[in-house]
Amino acid sequence: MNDNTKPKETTLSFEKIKQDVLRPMQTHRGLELWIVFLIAVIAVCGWAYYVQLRDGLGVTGMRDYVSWGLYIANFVFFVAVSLVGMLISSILGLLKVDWIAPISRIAEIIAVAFVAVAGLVIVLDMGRPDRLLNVFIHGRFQSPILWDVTVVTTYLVISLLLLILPMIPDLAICKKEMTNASPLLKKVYSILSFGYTNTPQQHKHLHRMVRTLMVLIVPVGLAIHTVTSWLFAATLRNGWDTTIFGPYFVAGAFVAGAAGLVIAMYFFRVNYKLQDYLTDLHFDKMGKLMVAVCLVYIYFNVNEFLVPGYKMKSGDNTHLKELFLGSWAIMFWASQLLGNIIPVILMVNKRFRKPLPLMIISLFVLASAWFKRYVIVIPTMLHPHLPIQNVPDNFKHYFPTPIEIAIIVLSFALALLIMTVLAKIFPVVPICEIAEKEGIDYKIED
Amino acid sequence: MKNTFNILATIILVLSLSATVCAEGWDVPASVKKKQNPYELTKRNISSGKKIFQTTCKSCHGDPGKGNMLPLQPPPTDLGSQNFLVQTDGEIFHKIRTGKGAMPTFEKTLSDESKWMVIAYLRSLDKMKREAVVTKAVVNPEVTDVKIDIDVDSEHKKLIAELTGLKKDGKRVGLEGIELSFLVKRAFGQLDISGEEAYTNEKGQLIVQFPTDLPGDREGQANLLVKITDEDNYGPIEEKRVVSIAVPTNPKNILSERAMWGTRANAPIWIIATYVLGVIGIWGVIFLILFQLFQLSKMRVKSK
Amino acid sequence: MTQKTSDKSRRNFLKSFGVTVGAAGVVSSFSLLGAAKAAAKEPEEMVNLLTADGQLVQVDKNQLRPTVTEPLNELQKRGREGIAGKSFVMVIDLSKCRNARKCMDACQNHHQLRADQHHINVLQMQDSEHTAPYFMPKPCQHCDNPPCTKVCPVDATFKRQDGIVLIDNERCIGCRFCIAACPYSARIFQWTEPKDSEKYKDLTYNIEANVPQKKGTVSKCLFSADRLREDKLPSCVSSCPNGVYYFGDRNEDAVTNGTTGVTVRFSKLIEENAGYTLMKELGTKPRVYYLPPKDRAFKFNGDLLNEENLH
Repeated sequence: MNDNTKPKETTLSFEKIKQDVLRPMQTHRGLELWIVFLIAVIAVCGWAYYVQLRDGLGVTGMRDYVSWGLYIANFVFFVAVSLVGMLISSILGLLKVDWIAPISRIAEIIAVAFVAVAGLVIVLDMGRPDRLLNVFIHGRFQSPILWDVTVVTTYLVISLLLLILPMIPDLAICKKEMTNASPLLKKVYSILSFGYTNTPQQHKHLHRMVRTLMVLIVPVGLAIHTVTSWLFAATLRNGWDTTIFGPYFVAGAFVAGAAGLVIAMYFFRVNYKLQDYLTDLHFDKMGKLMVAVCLVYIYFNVNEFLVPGYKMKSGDNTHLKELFLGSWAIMFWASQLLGNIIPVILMVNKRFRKPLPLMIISLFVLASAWFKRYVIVIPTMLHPHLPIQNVPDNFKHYFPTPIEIAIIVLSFALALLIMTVLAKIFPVVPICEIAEKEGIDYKIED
Repeated sequence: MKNTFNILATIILVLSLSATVCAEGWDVPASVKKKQNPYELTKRNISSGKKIFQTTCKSCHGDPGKGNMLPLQPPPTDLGSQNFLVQTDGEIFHKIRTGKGAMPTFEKTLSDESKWMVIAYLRSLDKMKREAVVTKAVVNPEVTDVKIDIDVDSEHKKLIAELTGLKKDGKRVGLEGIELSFLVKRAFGQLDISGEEAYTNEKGQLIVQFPTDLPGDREGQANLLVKITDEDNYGPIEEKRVVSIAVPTNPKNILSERAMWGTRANAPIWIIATYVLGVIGIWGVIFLILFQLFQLSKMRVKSK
Repeated sequence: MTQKTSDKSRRNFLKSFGVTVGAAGVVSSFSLLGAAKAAAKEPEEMVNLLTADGQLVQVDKNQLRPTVTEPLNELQKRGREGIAGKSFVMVIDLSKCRNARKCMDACQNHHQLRADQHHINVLQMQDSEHTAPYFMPKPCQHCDNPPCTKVCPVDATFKRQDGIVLIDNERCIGCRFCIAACPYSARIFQWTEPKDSEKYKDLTYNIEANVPQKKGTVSKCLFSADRLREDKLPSCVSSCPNGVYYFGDRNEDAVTNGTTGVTVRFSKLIEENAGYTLMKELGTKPRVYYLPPKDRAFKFNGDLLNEENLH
């Protein structure tokens, strides 16, 4: 930790932490405007979904050959980003990495928002969303979709618990301090603080529950993205029919999730004026973490593309040529270079691990991660085993329609809305945990 | 009825299709044109040609003289019309062999002998050359009440059919040289098991080997139909029989085993177990934690 | 031809549509059409009926009376069970195909599909650069190890005991996983309102023909399972003018040519012509067999085969 050259000047007291964290929740005007804006976006894009419901999926660019398009790519992206919750608060938490304390809650907020919307995106893709219950009534144990529905739900529940449980001491503080809050919100604080007064017994009990959840979310987190990869790997299609899809997706998810977290951290640091808590050190550490996960992801990419590219068996042949040199080359190489290789080269340099540069790099990484999912889903569908013939020209290409894009915007707006609301009513940085870490004594009164 | 449906359907379909084939002239080389049918117009050859005609030509050209050909563009020729039959044997042979447009080539799919048999059959319909028909076949006496009797040799899986008729003097005699068809009923048609030379002998008998490996039902039963191949001989004479010499088959129900591709009820046990145990395990812990969560507030009471 | 219609087929023909035609003459599509013309002056009295060969006709309402209909769940039940003891197979003789596309038309007619929706599709194939091109009709392969039914989350697509893979569009949730899973691109999706959905909306759903088609669900070749129940060959098989298709029961070791009506031993046909299945390396175990395009009945007259067309 000696790379943190800038020594901390500020001295923290419990009172100061409390005020710094709770202040933006009460007085941030921009936040409310932002929420109104998001709701407006959701309303407009909700109309696009209404059109899709009314006229059928024909309003999208998908047809019989490219039968999975933007929605599924977006679903994979959302699942990927949500995996950051498991990476930060669980894996690193269990490894007792202590610098994650101030950022683990943001990671959990991202996890909850993105996995909840991921479940919704799947419904947006369904031809008959009115029959959603069939999945529970007639669910087949052999279908990866049933597993996916199960793990997405489970992951959402555990992530919610992992968001709320470590927050109980803070909520007890909120109950006391947030005097201006609406009665409803006060009620929420009162219920969710479970009468916590920080007795040694409660502290120990709570700690044990959180540890259990951290262990529990590891297999579920791995499952959620592995099963998502099996939606593709369980088929016989060129480009999907591979055995490393599970770990390949998990590695990619860590990259996307870490980038998403850095962006959120930067936003809260600036907007919530939390520079004392989300410090340069945290960005520096996140930068290093991203280098590590990017390298793992690059390793998987090499395996995923070099091995079939070496053999060039029929089927793969056309698919890979299209990716490497054909009409998909720009998107493919851009996502590899801007999303993986160049960020690694930059981030090994300390200057680029400062908050602003790292945030900008993360934007590129996140956008590339999105396009990477697009490149994973659509080109394969365009290269089936048998030729595409006797169909109109728009069956042979795919380009998302405005309706489709609007519905994707809807999903992003919804995820951002959930994050914003959570950040509006809950402290985004754990008050008590930071106090404990700084060795500050504190008391929570009932 | 089925035919009519097909034709009706085809009429509608064809209307929307543009003509892909043009009825231009055929280039028949002079040497081929001169060729004569090397086979005589015996009853046997004509009957053999008729059989080939019915399986190979009839589906497009229809029955000769009946005009029930497929409504293609251009329409297939009526092969019984004089317009067609004015051609030489060689010309017809050439057309069968090469094909053109919608007319397939039969160069490989029919042997030269078969082609000539078809020509023999067509020639037998030729009003101009009818007198040329050579009837070398055995002449059976005038008979009435023609019938087929079937005998089954279960041990050797042989079928013995006897074709007899009642002479004017009341004596039942075997009819010689008549082609019989032995047909076994299958789901969508009759399987012909008669073999190559299925003509009755001088006693009116015909012995046919039942295929030793032909599946029947659970008990090895199969529906057999024996009939006179060419109705022109004595009219539609046939005899039906259930024979028990087919191979008994007990088809396995493919749904009887659990499989990954099966319905939920047929899912492999291990996958059900993995799923159910996984869900119970994870959700068990979740509920345990929820339970513990509510104990948190109890601890406050205690600590007070 | 009216006289030839047996009572049995008369009932079969109408029972799935919930009506019985009272007037004696109104039985086949021919006479239905006649009746429709006769009564055309009172359009409010007309009802839509589907004939056995997939034609929609209008009939005077007075000539119809309700009957004991095959209720939806009865149709579903027998449709899901299949025909006991049967094991349906198709043999496609590539040497006979000249791309006449009568099969595609008959199929689209039977299953109420648009011209760009294919349960069966005649493809121009060329296996590699220097091999001969040929036409290949491609229906659903009705695999014995079907990748599509494996992935269905709700048992909406399933295999029955006679080997046919069906789709229940009363159950399908439209996730299109089966489309992604099928290596033969045999499945289609109803992206918008299906063809003539207004006309067909009152018909009882027949799972064995997957009609009426439904928006937001998947459809595919069903070997005309409704026709098989009446001992009729599938629509594509019986509409081919060139003798390309054979269809039959593998348990009986016999297949019947839809054009010539000739029945042959299935095993002999495959053995003598070196029959094969598509992409056997995928282990899907198709029920559709192909005979190689040797000794062709027609010269290949397809479009120029270019790289784009082939992949």
